[in-house]
Amino acid sequence: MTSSPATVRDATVEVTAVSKWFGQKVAVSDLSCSFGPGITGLLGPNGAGKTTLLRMVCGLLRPSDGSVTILGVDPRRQPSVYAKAALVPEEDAVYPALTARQFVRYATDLSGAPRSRVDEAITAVDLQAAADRPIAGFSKGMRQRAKVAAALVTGPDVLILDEPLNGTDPVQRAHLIDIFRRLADEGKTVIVSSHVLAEVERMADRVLAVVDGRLAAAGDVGAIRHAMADIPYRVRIEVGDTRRMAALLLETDVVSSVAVSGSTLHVETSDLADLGRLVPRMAKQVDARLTAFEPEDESLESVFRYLVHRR
Amino acid sequence: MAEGVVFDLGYRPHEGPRLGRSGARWALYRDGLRRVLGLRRRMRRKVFPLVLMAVAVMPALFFVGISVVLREFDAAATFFGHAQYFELTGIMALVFVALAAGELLIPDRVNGTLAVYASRPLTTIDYLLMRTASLATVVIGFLWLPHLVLFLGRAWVSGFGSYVADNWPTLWKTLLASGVYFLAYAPLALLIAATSKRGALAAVLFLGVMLISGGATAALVDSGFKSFGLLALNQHPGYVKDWILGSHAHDWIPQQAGFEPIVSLVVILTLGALCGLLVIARQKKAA
Amino acid sequence: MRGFAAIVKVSLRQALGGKRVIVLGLLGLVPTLVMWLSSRNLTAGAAARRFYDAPFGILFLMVLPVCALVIGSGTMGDERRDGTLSFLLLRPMRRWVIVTAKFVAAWVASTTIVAASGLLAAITLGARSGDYAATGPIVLAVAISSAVYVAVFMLLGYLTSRAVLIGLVYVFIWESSITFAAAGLANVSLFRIGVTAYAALVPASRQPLNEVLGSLAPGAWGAMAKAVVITTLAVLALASLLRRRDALSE
Repeated sequence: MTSSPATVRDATVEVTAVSKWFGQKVAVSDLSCSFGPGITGLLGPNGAGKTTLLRMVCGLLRPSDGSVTILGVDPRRQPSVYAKAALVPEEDAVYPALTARQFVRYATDLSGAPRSRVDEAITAVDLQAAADRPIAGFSKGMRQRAKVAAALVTGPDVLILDEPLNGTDPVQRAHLIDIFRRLADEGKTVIVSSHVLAEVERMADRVLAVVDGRLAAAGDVGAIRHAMADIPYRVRIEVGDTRRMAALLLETDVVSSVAVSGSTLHVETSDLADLGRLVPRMAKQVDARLTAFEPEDESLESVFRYLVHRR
Repeated sequence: MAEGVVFDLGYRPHEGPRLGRSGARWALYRDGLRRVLGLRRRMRRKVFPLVLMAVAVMPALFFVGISVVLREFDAAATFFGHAQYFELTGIMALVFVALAAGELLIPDRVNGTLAVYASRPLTTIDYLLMRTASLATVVIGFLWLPHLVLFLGRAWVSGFGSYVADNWPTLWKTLLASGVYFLAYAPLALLIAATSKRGALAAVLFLGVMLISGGATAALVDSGFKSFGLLALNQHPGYVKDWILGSHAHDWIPQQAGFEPIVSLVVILTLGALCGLLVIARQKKAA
Repeated sequence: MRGFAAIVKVSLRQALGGKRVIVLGLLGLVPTLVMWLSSRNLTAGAAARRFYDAPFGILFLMVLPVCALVIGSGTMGDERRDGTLSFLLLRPMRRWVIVTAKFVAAWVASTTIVAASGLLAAITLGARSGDYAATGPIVLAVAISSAVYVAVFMLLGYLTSRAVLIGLVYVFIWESSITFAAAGLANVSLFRIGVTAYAALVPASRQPLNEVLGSLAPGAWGAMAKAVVITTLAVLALASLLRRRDALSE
């Protein structure tokens, strides 16, 4: 695979020109990427093909075209690779009659992992108090944690999580993110698909954005934003003399629009770096106090919105 | 002081008439009909009810066709009459009720949408009555339609007015008999569906109970245990049907046990009432 | 081995847990009840004939198929519908091992319920006639018929959500009616596989069973061989489907 932000050098999961269609509906189209140690966030609007992609990565779905490998093997041909890979699916894939402990122990037995890990996994997801209660009585967040524990107990090198933060409260979310972060620091490959963009932005080392079944962007969030050259940056500038500053800004080539709101200017620019050099000079020129210069759309949410609306 | 304003981005509240409880009931009834018949659903959900109805009506159409070709109604040429026709459609109704009962009661409970009904001007009894009414409409319609076809076909060939004048009681009798079959099967099927999470499982258990009761009670009545004739659940509607139609299509187990048809009717109504009360209790607990 | 045992254990708990096992167990008591009551005051010979009349028929034509259909069709079908199939498939275990474990659990569950029913009925026969020779063979016959039913319904349950409907048509129309019509058709009847084993081991049953069921070629080893072949084919077919098909929940 040639080098690009969509691929990594030390890939553990490789997706090569993968497509998947269900009858007339194309869910994933000619998608190539790879995943390696660290946390990769997989983003996309509803119906973008993220879950389909993850299920192909796991081997639950066969690609209509292309290939997927985990640790160099096709998981559909060699189930032995599942000793080192685990999936936390989005759906409620639990056994309601089992207790959390029994469920995690079941995962351990099926994967051949040592039973001593059961308690560790339950403690890791903070389910000790409810470990011996049937899962049927669990809240959604608790079920999520039970699923995560069942995945962690096998000690996977590749951990795939489809919307793992659904139903969790902020404290549980922070706790789970710590777990994923720790795994990533240990050199494991963690792939997280999520709609909670702020959290993905916090934890992911890189993101892959999927829109309409195609890879829309890949890499660092800031770098993705910079790659969107056709979309002007929006910058917030807090300055004393807004009117004179606005007039000066409009005379430059890099600024396409300025909106004034009290002591704040909202500027659209095609060249953030250039604007960053010009603004302090202009402020000095009009003898105004510059108190803030902040890009407004370099967040993952903004990037995500641009990617979705570009289609 | 901070100010706020909400802009109307397109949401419009309902400004039409509020239909109230009767409207909600009617909507529930129509939804029940759709579920049972597979309407507004994928083709495969329609196949079974349509095939069953076609198989039920086909012999009637065939016999009417023969009568038309022969240009006369010949009782001998129609292989069986109204009473015997129920032998065919009764079994189909049994299977149909087994599958439809689960379709009506289980999805709402399992998918958690009972709470949606509870937030409307509907009581548990409304919900159950309307579900039962939609099942009754389809099952009784399905059972009675062939008789209507047979009746009209014979009337057409035999001099419409005179045939109708002489034989119109057949219409209400076959309708009544269809109702008896429904009352004999539906309450138990609905009770089992109300306690199951899977429609298929409920159907198998219901059919198992009905069929095993028939086989077991036949042997016991034969051995002299006449009172067990009351437990021949799948035999009572046929016995009552013969009573209504004044025919003798079959040696029914309750009949062999020495019971009068009225006893079978009482068993049907009692079991129906008991199952109904249990379904209400179960549904209230689940809601 | 640990994984295999774990699947069998959890699947047995799923199959035998809940209200349905109570209902199936109660249905299973019917042959015994019928036998006990209907053979009162009969001679030993008459009691034996009565056994092969209704109780035996109820056991093999109704109780066994209903149990096998309920348990067998839900074995893989429920995992798929509940979304837990991915939990099973994403394990370092060969597909045929997973399927075999599920089959073993379903077979044990079905056989336990129906064999207990048959055993009680056979003990009742023994109490009435003084002959307990039927107790062992009936358990074997149930085990054999249960194996083939469960294997076939397990495959059907995975293939379609209408497995129960198809199973019902097969059991109550094909098995209970059509296969009685012609000797040739008896060869494609699953419940007869177990009954032929029974007839081979209980010679006294051959004549009454021939009268009730039509042609019956007794043979315990042949029956077991048929059961092994059918079961193996069903398990391999299902394992192949798991390997080749997409694991989509319903």
